[in-house]
Amino acid sequence: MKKQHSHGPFLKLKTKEALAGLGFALPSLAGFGLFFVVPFFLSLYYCFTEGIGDMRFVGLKNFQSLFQSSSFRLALKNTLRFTVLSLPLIFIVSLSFALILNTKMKGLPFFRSLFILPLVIPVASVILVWQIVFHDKGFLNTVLSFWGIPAIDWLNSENALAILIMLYIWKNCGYNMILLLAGLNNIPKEYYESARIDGAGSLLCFWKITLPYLAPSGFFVLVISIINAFKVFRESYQLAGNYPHQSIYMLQNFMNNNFHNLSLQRLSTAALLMLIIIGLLVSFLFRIEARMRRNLS
Amino acid sequence: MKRFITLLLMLGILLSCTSCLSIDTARSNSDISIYLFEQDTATRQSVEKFNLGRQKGKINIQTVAAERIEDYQNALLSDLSNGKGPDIIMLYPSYIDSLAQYLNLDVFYDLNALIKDDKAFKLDDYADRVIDCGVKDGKRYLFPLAYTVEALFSTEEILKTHNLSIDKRVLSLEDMLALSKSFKEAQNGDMFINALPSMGYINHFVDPLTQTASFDNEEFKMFMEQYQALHQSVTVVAENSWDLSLLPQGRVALLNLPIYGVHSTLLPYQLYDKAVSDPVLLSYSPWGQEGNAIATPSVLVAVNKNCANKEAAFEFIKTLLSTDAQMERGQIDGIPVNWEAYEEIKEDSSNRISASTGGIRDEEALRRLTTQLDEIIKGDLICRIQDPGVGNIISKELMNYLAGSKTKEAASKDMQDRVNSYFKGIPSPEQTPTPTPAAPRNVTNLTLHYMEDQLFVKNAIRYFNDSHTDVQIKGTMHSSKDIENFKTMLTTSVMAGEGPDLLVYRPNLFNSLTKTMATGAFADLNPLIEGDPSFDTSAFYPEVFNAGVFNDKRYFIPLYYEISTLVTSKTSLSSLALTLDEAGWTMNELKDAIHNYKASNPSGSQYFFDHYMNFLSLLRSSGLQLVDYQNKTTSFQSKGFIELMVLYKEIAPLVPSLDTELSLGLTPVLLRDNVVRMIYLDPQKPSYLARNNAIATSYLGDDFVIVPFPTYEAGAKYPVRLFDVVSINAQCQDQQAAFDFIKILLSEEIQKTKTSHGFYNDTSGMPVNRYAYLNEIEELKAPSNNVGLIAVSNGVETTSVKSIPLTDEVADMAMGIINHMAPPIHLDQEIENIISEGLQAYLSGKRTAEQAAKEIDEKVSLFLNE
Repeated sequence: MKKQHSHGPFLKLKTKEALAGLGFALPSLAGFGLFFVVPFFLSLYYCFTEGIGDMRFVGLKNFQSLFQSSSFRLALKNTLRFTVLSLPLIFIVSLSFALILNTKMKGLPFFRSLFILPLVIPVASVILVWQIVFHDKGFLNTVLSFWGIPAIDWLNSENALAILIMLYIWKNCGYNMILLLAGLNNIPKEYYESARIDGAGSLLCFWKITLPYLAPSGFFVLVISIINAFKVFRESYQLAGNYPHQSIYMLQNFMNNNFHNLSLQRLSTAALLMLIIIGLLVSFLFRIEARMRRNLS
Repeated sequence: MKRFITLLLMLGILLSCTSCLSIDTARSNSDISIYLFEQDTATRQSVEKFNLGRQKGKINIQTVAAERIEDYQNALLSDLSNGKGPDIIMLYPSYIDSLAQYLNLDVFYDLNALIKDDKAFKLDDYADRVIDCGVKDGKRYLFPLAYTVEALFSTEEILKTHNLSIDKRVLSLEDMLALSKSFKEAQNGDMFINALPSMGYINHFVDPLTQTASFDNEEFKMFMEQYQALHQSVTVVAENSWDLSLLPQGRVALLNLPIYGVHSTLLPYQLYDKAVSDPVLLSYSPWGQEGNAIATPSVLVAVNKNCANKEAAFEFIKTLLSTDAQMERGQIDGIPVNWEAYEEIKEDSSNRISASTGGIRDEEALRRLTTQLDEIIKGDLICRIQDPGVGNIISKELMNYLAGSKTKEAASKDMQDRVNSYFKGIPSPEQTPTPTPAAPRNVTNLTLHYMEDQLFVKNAIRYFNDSHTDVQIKGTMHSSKDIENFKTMLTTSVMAGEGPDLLVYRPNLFNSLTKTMATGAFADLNPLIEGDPSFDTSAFYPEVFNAGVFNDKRYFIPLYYEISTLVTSKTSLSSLALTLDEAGWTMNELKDAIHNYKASNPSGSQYFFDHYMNFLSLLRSSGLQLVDYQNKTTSFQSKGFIELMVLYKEIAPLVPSLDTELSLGLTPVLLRDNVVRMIYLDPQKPSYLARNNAIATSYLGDDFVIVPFPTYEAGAKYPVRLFDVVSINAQCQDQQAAFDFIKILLSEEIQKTKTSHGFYNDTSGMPVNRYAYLNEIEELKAPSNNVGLIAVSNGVETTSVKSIPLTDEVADMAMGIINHMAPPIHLDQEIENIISEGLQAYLSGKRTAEQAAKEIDEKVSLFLNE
């Protein structure tokens, strides 16, 4: 009798709160379930079946066929190449800007806004500017022609990859920089003061204090950059269409074209593989980060 | 207790109010229904507009196929007599057997009750003399949406010669009689009119709406005498009523050409302007109503008495009567009743005709004609709704009298008795035969979607449904304006394992037909063909018929195809030093001819091809096999493809743009005058072949010749290009029935231009059924095919040439090409896009031919391996 009183007439307070929380989260969970979880399992099902309507289980045949596809191999190779090349570059560039802006320079808020600007400009407008610059009759070729250099079709040559990397860095480094700047601000100034009293130079401070203490933000930036690198299709597609130059034909081009042809099984299999690759890369990064954290503590 | 009772009472009142309110709300919110005749596109568009953005009170359409007018009538009559039926009733007098049947059901609601509550609705905005024809005893049961007016074409010269005033717009029966006598004397017994009007004259004596008739009287007998006199003095000439040249030829004094619309009245004059320079538009009045022209409603609308949401129904009628909807209807069903719409159409038609470079040059004559049309439309009109049942009785009795088998007394009495009994003898609502419910049977429905211009599909469905009782095809027709939605719907539904059981489509409907086939979306037709001993594959051209076989499975059967051909003159060929034998010609010969041509035309003021020539047509006809779909390999870097690109770069400046070509004049004229040397020919289906034969003969005499497109290799055959093909969805549950339908599509009856019942199949290409082709060619050679005129138009300029039978020589030219056909070289739509993109890079100078070919090769390779 006493027990019942102490626990309220129906439910415990904690349970009530949990139910209320669940109630509030329910619309969001329903949306997530409907638009992410269900399609995910549906596409998982597609990965191991073939046919239309009457689906037949085919085991790993779709994966085998995918790896036999030269287009898929090219897309995978290009995407990995892009990631490997762009990841260190964007990190270095973002960190450099973050370090510069972390000094007590004038007009800091203005520069912060300036760097975040590419992120808020619609991709289509950005692409338009880039097309004007790199078009075979565009700004860059006009400038080069003053020195008698013949026009180059930048977007339809091996240079296309370099342009895409530049675009990727330009667009994303502002966001990364803000994250890194926040990380830099969290490093206690006392560490630097102690180190300087002990006679450490700027480089040693950066190496022994900044980098280790920036690791959590740095890894987050890397994870975000990997995801963004795999999402660079939007830019590639708008720059050069469904079938761009072979050097910038990415996994998402492959998937988009298969969606266009309604090859749902192939599309799902490629998406699953991409998920696995991103998952592996991210978990690898988290392991390193965890190890660094342990070393630091 | 008192309080309780008071509370109860209040609650009761409140509840009853709420329930009344909810019933009213339910009524005003309820959806309404309409039965629609398939070709009534104007009403369909109005329904779509009406429903747009509406959550409640929407209109649900039940469509009835064009060839099933009996079904429309039966369903409408049966449902209305049972107190059901559509809320909005559309009546098409030309398509119903009896108006009286509908009137006797007493189901029409008085629209005046709705009109008086709507202050914004003004009857003055509409042709009052026409719209009042639906009023009976002060109640407006039917509202006409469009109408036609009886009219006659003549010339000022004819009228003056026969002492008739050119300013008299409406001729009386006496005028007609005087003219016919005078004309007959002057022409020494020649023709007078192309068709003798009859029904209009009788309007005065019968009104189907009030169901009154007065034939058995002296006035009508007088009319009969006069009409007989007219009949005796007239010889009717059975020729194209649009052929205005009959007037100056002196063959007729009047052409009976009712006004079905503003443009259709002004257009004949534009078409045949060379024939007539002083046209006059006239009308004639019914007996006893001199000065009044005769109008007849072509479409009427009414509201069912039992309609639950009459306000919404009236709102819809207002939509039908809106200026936009009326302008649309004015293009199809007759003259719109909305004055504003009429004025807009009139202005638009005059402007269109004036703006064209051909046709009427005499603006003054066009203005006069438009004024005459205006005078008739805005003048005194007598408008009566026609009842075909009454019309049949009158026509028969009148003919009995004219043929002498009955006296005027007997004919008029019989006419009176029969019409009276027709009015009385109409089954009352209780007597209306209600269809006895048939014993339930399992009917399987097969679904099929098709575009509105694929009339052959519609005809095939009719044949199939008439010959099958357990399986029926349910066809869904899509507007050609809706092609993108149709494409998306069909491709996504098929690839999702759903979609229609049967698909009739063009190969480029799918972004990649080969990939779609590889997914197993379509059923293999080979087992069905092998299991059917009655199916004779030898009736079809094998090069075309077997084009749907991929990896030993037959995923589609082509129904129509084309072989790209060109028309040129023998003189042109010899000036270009081209000698074409049975083996055709090659790309190298074309290259030489281009060089010769350039040498003879240094100013570049002329063109080699017309605007239809393009790279893909050349490529498809070249015979170059560049894509191996099975092994996913490409050979765009081959010598042949690069040479073809280089050749096309030379050709491109010698192909005029569409605008340039239009500014130069009509294509056959350009060919005759050597402004263009070769013109791309329409698919050589028999009817087009005969038409082109007449046009080419008219302009070039026997100097013209039909040649195939050049091939890459000498002596190579000519690849065909597929038009419509048919597939069975792999998910179709009754593939045998679906195959039976395909057999109908492949039958001679559907493959030829017109069915034996006179329905146009309206096919775009040449039939795969060889007998359909050969037999029609023979029919077109018959000497009787010299009747009428053929319009020659490029959309800006129009003229006409005389129709002639197909000559043996031309038929042999076409057969020579057909006998050398080769299977199609299929290029997926995506591959064509890649080729076009690469070609543009080459033509604009961004790439060399080799670079462009390499780029195309790489991209197509990517596409194939995806």
